[in-house]
Amino acid sequence: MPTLTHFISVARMLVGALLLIALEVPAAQVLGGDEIGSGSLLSRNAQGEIEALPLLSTDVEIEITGPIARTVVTQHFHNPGGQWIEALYLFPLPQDAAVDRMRMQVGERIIEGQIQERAQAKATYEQAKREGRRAALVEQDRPNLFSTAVANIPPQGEVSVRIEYQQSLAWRDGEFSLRFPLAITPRYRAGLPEPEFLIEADSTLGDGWSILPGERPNRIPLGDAQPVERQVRIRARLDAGFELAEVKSHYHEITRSAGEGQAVEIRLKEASVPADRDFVLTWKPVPSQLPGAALFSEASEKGRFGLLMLTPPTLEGWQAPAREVIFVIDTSGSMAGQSIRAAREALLAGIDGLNAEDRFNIIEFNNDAAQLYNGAKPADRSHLAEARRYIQRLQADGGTNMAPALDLALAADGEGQRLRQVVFITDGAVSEEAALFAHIHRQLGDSRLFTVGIGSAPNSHFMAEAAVAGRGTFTYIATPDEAEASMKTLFAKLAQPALTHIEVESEVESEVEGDGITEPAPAVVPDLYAGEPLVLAMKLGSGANQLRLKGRIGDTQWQQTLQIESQDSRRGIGIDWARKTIAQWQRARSRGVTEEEIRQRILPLALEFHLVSPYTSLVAVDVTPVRPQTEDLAQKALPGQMPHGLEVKKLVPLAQGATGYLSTLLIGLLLLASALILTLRTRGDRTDGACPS
Amino acid sequence: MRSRKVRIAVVALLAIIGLGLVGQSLWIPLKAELAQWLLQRAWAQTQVSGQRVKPWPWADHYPVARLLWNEQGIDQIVLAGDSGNVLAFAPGENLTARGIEHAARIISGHRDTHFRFLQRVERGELFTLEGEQDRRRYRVSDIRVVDADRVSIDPSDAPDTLLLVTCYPFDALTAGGSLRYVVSAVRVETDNVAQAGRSSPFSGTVGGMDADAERTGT
Repeated sequence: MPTLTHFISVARMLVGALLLIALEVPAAQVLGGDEIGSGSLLSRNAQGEIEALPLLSTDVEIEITGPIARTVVTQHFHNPGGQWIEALYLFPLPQDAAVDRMRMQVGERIIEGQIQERAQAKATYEQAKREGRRAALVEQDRPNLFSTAVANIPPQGEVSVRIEYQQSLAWRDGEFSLRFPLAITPRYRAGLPEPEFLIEADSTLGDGWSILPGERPNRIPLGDAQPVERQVRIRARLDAGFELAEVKSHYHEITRSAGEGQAVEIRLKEASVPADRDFVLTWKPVPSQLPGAALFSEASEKGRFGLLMLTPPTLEGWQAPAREVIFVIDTSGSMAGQSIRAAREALLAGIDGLNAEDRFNIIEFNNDAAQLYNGAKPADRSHLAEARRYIQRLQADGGTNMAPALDLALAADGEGQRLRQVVFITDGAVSEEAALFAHIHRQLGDSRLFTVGIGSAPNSHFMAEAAVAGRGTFTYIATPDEAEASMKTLFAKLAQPALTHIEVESEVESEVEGDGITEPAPAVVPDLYAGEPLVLAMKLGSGANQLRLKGRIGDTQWQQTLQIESQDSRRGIGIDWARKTIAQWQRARSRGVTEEEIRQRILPLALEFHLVSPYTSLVAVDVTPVRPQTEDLAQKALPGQMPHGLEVKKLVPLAQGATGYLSTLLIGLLLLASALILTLRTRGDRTDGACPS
Repeated sequence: MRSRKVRIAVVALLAIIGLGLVGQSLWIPLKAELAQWLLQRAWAQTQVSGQRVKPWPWADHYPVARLLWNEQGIDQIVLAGDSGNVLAFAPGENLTARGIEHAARIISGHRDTHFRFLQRVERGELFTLEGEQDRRRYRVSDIRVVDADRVSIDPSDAPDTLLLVTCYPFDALTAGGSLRYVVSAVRVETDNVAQAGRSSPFSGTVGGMDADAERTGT
């Protein structure tokens, strides 16, 4: 029997190869991203042209729990041709989303995506390929495009693809928003010398245009200008964690009904919607002058997990407490030119953002560190004027030596009560990370550390990790042009601390160790600022039934107790914790943790929670056995490709390329011409007047 | 009488503003030309000394490359950075892209001064980019117009590619549109120009490619 199976598979491969030759296309056909709709199944027809299989319908179920959303998308496709085909499935993901479940049904077969260690996933795939079984390796080669190949779609057959992904939601202007991609926009990626993604041996997917969903989602994709009606069913369960003031769908009509508990059920009114704009949902809380808190939890065989969300006050009129702000600026030689000018602008913006009650100081460093004042001074008019003159005089020269500057910034402790914020601006690549990190850790005390990296050189992992340890944030500025806007956003945020010195404790009935809160992520609880909620993921012990939150609003104590629900039914809380914990470990190298330990920490989490990480891949293997099919001829070998993990690439905006001097010239010439005309007419008038009548 | 005075005043005002605007606008292409002349000297010094050389004492930029299109006599010095104050003097190279290893190199220029010639570029043309140490040749493989509001370039996606970017359309009167004219060129081996041209993934798309290669092959 094995010989027979072997024979069949060899024969199939041979016929497949013959067919490949028969179908061979004259020129390499480029598969451009602008041909990809939202969630597309693409195949190649007998003429070698790329065809999108008709999408019959889309089912979307969204479960929103506080700051996270879990989406299950099921799409049904149809193969209109009379041939067995192989296709590539592409789905644009929202920013910051990751697929953790995938299932395909082709005819009667189910292909389930499984998470495996990278090397093992590759081996599984190779083995299945050798055995003539259908398999595919799932790629997430760009953070926001999910793609996988589907083999053997029968003639006139139907395929359904079901994927599940989870994302963190964005909070902007006092509201949460969620976007489900129904329309996408292309991204230019230049002519590639090497194909990056192969659908077949002779065509490329990476070339030319590719997709960048979520950036400008309200435009209609290129090509067909006619709006396409699609069968889309969207259902959402919204459990915001606060009292809702408003739920709004921006482009589609919805109906709203009360769900279980505080949740709201949302459905699309129309069963079929035009595929020219994304589904966008926003919701906001009832305004309040106090911070709010909500706790969600999930219990599964993996353990018990909690997600704590603190929302800032949204009502006008609350008073931000006075601060002490220490600006530290890198004036080493590498900052020369645009960087130092951008930094000067940024500093001036930072000074302008100070309130009269605040105190401040400025420290510059290159080979040595120097400070404007011996200790922080009040931000009154005379000190500010002095600071402005100091900033204008800053020149970039010399080397980069951070330690003395950190000593100055962190060692001098402020006057206790004030919130102390250290803003550290540098473009320098950091060496001896671990030593510097230990240095920061030792001296930090109660100061908050906000790091700002300018240019392409800064060591982002290190600066992000330092900021997390310092209960601050990391701001990355790619080009000096962005500096002003980014820094303004940062300083506006810094000016409004809503809740500081936050502590989270659990009330445990038993005294068993590890029964309270363990492994919170982030490990150090940052402060809550107006303008963005604070989210904390944690593991909960089985005995924990209450959380106590403490914090300070200015010099007032704030406290709230939260009940942990007994049902623990929220999906996605555990995954969210795992993702945050993995991200935390990925940065740990800058703390001096070894590569091996990081791997050992991440790997079990990623495998358990089905997450794609630098060490794991999703591989789709055929679960149901292959039935003998003599018609199964069009199968083509897929090249084995390793997923690239989830690295975020740098994107470069296109520079402004015109002076527009011609229009100025034209206006100038027009003015001159009209002057000339007026002069001539004046002369004419005079002659007329002189003429005796 | 009074109306005549007013009229003379208006004429004078118009003439002054007009002359001012003409002067101001002509200064832009003039500056672009003058700067190139000074930059050529700075570049020569850079190549000798291997150091960054400021083209004039108060300049806040320095040359990083020299772009040549021999067929059309184009020879321009490229400055570091592609912000507006740099592009006034010369084409500028994007430093973010430059900072990434094996990434595309992106050079931008104004469509009404330095990069006006881009409208004459066709597929298959050869460009030379002279660095401090080396000379690289690139063959134009693709030309297209993109909307900068909708697209960005991912430089690490296109290793060994040279992208020349300018505003589009070329004859628009005012600046500030969102369309960009992007010429992409793929690197070819200097010794082996004809060969590389044929094996490029874009071969077959340009009829005269082989003829071109013979003409320019060295």
